[in-house]
Amino acid sequence: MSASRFIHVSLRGAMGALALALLPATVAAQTLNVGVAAEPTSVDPHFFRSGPNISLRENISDALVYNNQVNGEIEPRLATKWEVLDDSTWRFTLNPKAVFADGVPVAAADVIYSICRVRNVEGSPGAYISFVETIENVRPDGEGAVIVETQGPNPMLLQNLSAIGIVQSPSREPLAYDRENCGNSDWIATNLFNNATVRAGIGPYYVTEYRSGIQTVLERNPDYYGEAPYYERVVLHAIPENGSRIAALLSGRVDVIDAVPVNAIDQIADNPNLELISMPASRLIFFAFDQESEPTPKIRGTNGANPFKDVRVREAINLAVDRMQIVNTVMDGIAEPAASIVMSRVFGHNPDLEVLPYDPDRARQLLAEAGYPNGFDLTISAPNDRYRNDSEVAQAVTQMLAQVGLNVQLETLPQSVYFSRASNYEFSLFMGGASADSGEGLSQLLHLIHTRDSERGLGGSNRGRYSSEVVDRYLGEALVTLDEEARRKLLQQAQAEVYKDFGYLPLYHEVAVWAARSDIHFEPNAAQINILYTARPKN
Amino acid sequence: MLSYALKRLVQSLIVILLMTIVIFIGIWFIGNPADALISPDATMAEREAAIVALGLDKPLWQQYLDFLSGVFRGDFGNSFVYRAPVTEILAARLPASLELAFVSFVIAVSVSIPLGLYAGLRPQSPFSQGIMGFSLVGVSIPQFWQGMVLIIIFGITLSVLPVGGRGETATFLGITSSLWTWDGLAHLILPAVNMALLKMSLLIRVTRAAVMEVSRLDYVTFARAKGVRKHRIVTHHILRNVLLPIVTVLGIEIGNLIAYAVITETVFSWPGLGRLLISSVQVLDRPMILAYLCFTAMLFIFLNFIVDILYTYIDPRVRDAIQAGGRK
Repeated sequence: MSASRFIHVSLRGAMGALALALLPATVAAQTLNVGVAAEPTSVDPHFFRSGPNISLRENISDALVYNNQVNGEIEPRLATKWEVLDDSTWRFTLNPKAVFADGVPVAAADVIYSICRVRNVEGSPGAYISFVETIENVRPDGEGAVIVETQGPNPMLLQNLSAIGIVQSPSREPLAYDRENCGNSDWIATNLFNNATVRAGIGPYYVTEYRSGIQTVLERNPDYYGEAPYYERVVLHAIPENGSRIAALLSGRVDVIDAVPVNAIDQIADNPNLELISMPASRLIFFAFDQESEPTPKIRGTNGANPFKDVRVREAINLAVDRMQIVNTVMDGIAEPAASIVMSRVFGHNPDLEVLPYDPDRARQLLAEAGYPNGFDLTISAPNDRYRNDSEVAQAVTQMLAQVGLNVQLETLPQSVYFSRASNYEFSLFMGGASADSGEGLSQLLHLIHTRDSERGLGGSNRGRYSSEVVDRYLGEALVTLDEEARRKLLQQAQAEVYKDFGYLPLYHEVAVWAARSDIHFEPNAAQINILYTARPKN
Repeated sequence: MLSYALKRLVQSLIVILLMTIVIFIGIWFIGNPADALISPDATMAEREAAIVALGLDKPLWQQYLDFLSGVFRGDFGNSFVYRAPVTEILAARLPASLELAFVSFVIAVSVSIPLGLYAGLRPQSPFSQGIMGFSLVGVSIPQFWQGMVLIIIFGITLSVLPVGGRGETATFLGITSSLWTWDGLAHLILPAVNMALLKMSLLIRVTRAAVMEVSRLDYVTFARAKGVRKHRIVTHHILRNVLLPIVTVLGIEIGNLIAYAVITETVFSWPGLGRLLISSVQVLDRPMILAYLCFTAMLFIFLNFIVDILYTYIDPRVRDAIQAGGRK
């Protein structure tokens, strides 16, 4: 034992000495290597709204404001301050020290150009349009200030703007804003950002190399107006396979990894050289009930009736699931049992709602009262490659439902198939996930519990088509309420309503987990974004 | 010979055409790529916009015709995910795949043919038994697990080799490859061995079986009776005849090494073509899948063609047969 350890140590020492002899020391010290589970699909800050892209944008292309996902506070970025002139007019003062690569400070023209470009990214598969939907006009206001006018009051404007990276307008002349193309036809092409010809705006870092599926190399921006990042260079290595990502960390190839899989938690926790960094995330994992179709596609043995239209059945299913057990055993403690939609640290959380108890007896009784003493045949649906441990969690739910007398089967599908089927209403009880990606609860609630209304872009994730007039009224009011406390109250009331209706089967809120070398400080983030510019060695 | 080549080419093009139709219909059956690409939180309006942006709002036959007319102009279209030309993305990944395939091919051939030859010539010796045992283990251990074991032993416990990714590259003779740097080679060793082990086991078995079969044939016995030196019998009489099945297997295996190194590339996060295919399939990136499979189809057709030509050099009977066929 001790002999093998000796060999191990001396080999490691020898290799270390060799590596030091071969490599210029400065390169090794100043580079942070990060192993990421999913790579950005583009450097363009307006190209695609998905986790990895948003994560990259946070480090290379500042927005007007920053949405601190820890407590939901809005912090200054390119705008040093902002004021609400009237219900629908906001004035932003731009930071004169924020300069683009050519030394020119950010101006109103750049803000107008960037907000307008969101609608004009060629071939963008899913853009940021909903963030700028309410913006009616953007215009300069003297030197270094910009005025944003919204269609009616928009309490989420700051959160919305925090998602739009500001790129440099090719011309100094401000465009005349409109809701289409601002009279411009020549937009910066996405590949100019990808091949590092054009910088994606002003950020602590800028991209010097982007090779899809391989790596993204970031270099420190020497002219950055804010605090300079510690690392000169950051390399994001795309390592989608969980085992390989862990191996890369254990072997020292990378210093930090994101999306630590549940089954590696113990291994990393036991390793003195490594550290787990976690933060409760806003993403709720839930099951949705089909509350519209009759008969519903995946239920048999009810003579064509959809039992989920009956609140007693929805309550029974909610009581039949032991959330604590799922969190503790399937998720190994890396999740927080959920009572309702918005998690505890996000604006709009309702602290009065309690996690529903596990009560299989009451569940059986409720099923009997609803006219299903012998249960019914149900197939539940879940993706198997979208959320952490998604199919395992679905299996646990399947078994719990079987215990209250339902004849349950489980089908799991890859996400490429799953979500298009869910959108086609082919499921009855099906897993989903929704995060507060604008950093507060209203957007999450609008997506999940507002009546589905594609015209107005509401209820986008409400594929079970839960619908309550009361909820819609609360949320509609919240949409135009600028006063924070009043709005918070409305969000809480809406959730109390859906809680009472058992409109969903909320399971848990995910916990975002990173693992890093224990001598590196790495900042966690509830939106599961990799914040690279605050990473530094400890001490 | 030329008409034979032409015939093969036309056959291949028909195969590729049919394949693209199957892929188009297959993906259409699976689901809408827009749903796999956009965030599940996206609104219906955003979904509609994405569908239009990707050209998925047109009827399927029209999408297919658009694709075909693009191909005739040499344009395979843009990837749904990256919105960059798929040919560029493929070209960027190809060198990594080629060098990995090359190194594992060299390892596999240089180890397995001598071993297979030995095992075939002396099937009873304990060393031969050992070789066969090794090849059995090689075939039966899952490649994924074997890769992980290699990583744990050489990358983590011993810390002597890098555990993943491609090393530094350098340009030499106009070729940019990680073969030219020590760092690059160090990164290549584990994935190449991982791929080579499986191929080795197969090649050892093929070689051994062929050697055992050939060495029982009359002309070998005759040569031996004539007093031809043992060495000469092996190189001139046995090896030459054994080459035919080996070349056939090699032709297919090289193609597999280049195009379908999915498992090795995933385990070692090697930026090659195999991983590209998997990630494209996951999000139904149809242009990428199409271009990739067209490329691999061409690759296999080309390799088969090379194998056929090699046959004619190795075995005059094959050449005669082809020429007879060509005259018909």
